[in-house]
Amino acid sequence: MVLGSLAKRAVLNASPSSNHSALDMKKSFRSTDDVLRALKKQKYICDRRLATVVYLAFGMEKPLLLEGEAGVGKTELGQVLSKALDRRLIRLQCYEGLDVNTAVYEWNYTKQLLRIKLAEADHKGLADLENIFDESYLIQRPLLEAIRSEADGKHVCLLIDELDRADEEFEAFLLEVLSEFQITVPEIGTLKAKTKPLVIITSNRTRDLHDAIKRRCLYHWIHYPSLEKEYEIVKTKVPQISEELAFKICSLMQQIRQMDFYKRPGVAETLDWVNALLLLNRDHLDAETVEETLGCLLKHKEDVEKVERENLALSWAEALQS
Amino acid sequence: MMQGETLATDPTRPGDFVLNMLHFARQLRERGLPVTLGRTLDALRGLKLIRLEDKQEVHSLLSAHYVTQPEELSVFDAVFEEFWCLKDRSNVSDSKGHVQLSGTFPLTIVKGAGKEKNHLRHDLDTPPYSPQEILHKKDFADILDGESEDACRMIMALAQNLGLRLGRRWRTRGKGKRVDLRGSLRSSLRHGGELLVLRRRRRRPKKTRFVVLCDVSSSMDCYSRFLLQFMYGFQRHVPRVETFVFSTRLSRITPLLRMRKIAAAYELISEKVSDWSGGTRIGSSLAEYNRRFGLRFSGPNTVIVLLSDGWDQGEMALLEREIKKLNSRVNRLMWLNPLLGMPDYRPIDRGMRTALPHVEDFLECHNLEQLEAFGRKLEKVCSL
Repeated sequence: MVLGSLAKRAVLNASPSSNHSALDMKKSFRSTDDVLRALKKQKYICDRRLATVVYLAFGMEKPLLLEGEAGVGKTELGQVLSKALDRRLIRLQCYEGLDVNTAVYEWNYTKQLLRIKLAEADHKGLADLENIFDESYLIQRPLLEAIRSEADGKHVCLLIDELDRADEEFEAFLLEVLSEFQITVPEIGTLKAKTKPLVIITSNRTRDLHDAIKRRCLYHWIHYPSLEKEYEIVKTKVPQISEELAFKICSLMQQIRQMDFYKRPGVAETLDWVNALLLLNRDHLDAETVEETLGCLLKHKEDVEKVERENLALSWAEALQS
Repeated sequence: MMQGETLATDPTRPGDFVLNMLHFARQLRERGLPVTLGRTLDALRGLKLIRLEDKQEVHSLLSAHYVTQPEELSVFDAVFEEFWCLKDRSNVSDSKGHVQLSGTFPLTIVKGAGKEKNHLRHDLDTPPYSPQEILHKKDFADILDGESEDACRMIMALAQNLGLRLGRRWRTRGKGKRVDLRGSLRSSLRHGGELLVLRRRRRRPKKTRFVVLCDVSSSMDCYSRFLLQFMYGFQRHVPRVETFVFSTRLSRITPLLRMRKIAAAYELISEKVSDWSGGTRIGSSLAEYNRRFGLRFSGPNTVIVLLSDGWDQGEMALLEREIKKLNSRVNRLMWLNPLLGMPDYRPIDRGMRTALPHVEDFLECHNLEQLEAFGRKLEKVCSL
């Protein structure tokens, strides 16, 4: 292969990365396969591409931006990574109207007011009052927490979930955090992380994120899993299910995702469905069962109506019999 | 390093890997990906971490750095295969030859090749002042090939300007329901820490989102190039815009217009939209919008911009029902009709007559001046 011969000519010499502290050596990724193994141990099945990107995000200390359809395991990857690396997970769920006060920091007003009153009681002058904009009066919100928690030598994972839900302005606050891993509080100055947290950002793509954000991140689009991968996921997550039923469900899911639905079911829906079937003690899929459990798959009235109108439950069941 | 330059253009020959990366990056940029030198440098840094002989790892590394949205994945894959794996170039870039097929977006129009003059000319009764001024008032249907570049540039400038003005927001101070403790406390320092004034703040109003529905049936052909340019600029510079085109069916082109180079966007559109220059079924296209996208994009803070000449071959009852439904779900429905600029035009054809009662604004859009007027109108609507 050409790449191989290119490798020999490469001017870049591969040196083992030495930028991780000895303290953290126990739980770190050294290769793509390392990531795959660690994730599999946490029952997270993914393809090599994703594993490589995770490894790169870890090794290059860059945030990882994950996009993909709903229910393909974007958020879960963040959670699983924190477990695999044995790091504390700090999660910031984004929503419309999220602002600095809830995401980054807020001043502890009660404490500040009390301090003022105390100073008053002690007949102290204005000079003393300057202290109330001190770091000890700061309430840490997720982003600041992620930056400052490094102070005690513990690494963290920062999961910024569904960033597309936040307002565009909020992205601007993130820029400093993501590129410099620091936060500037006007009253104090710049607070910088000693060691960089592993940052995972997810987006459902209800809107486009700003280029400036994307430029600071590694980007990966998570596709729906292939039939083999999905089967592996189902068997790993729900080992009680029979192989035949698991295979049938997965191949049906692949078909359903090809169809024109308002909201296509993701892996999360597959697992819901499998669990529902187990709970109902069904060991095969017939039209009646599909209809009864349709709510696990399709979450929109229009989609359910489409199945009823076109009698899809029956044709799916028949397709599976043959 | 420079002596390898000529050799390194061809990866079959030994060359400098860094130089090859730069060539690769340039090819990606030419195909419309937002490549910057910074990304290339980062990617080169990342090479240390992976095994260069593993094609998949190299692919992941490079795509993580150069790809920023799923639409770019296929382009990236093609260039990657072509450049690093020496795939035959002919089948990758045969789309460059562009044989114009009926039913797809005619790229020849965009590239400024011969344009048919099959449209009624509008009277130019204003005396011309400057070339720019002429172009400003000239009907899009009459713009000559040589002028079209200028017109497109002016459209983009117009869209950018509009984006700036729509992005401007006012902050209300002093009044509001929630107490702004941070502000109050800071201002209290002025009085020795005594809270004399409570600063207040209020929630910012919900922001407007826009849905553009553009008619690309054959009757709109002479306008579609410029309107597409406008939609491209509009979506690029104004936040929260969704764009659709329709003739007999509806296609969502929002993700396609996101390409950084307009040529790349056009190429994608010609690939994905299959009924360009077809007949017109406004009613069923609107029905499709309402059914498939209405829940997601229509809302009390949505402004719908419909670009069409109103010549509808579909059922009138359907059109009436769907446009009523559309209007009831959104803040405002604006209809831009390029024919409105013609002196003898009256909206009396069936389609237009049916739709008009359900439309809040009925505006012209046949030249730059009118597009500008539309921008001013939009600004007013948004600040209401």
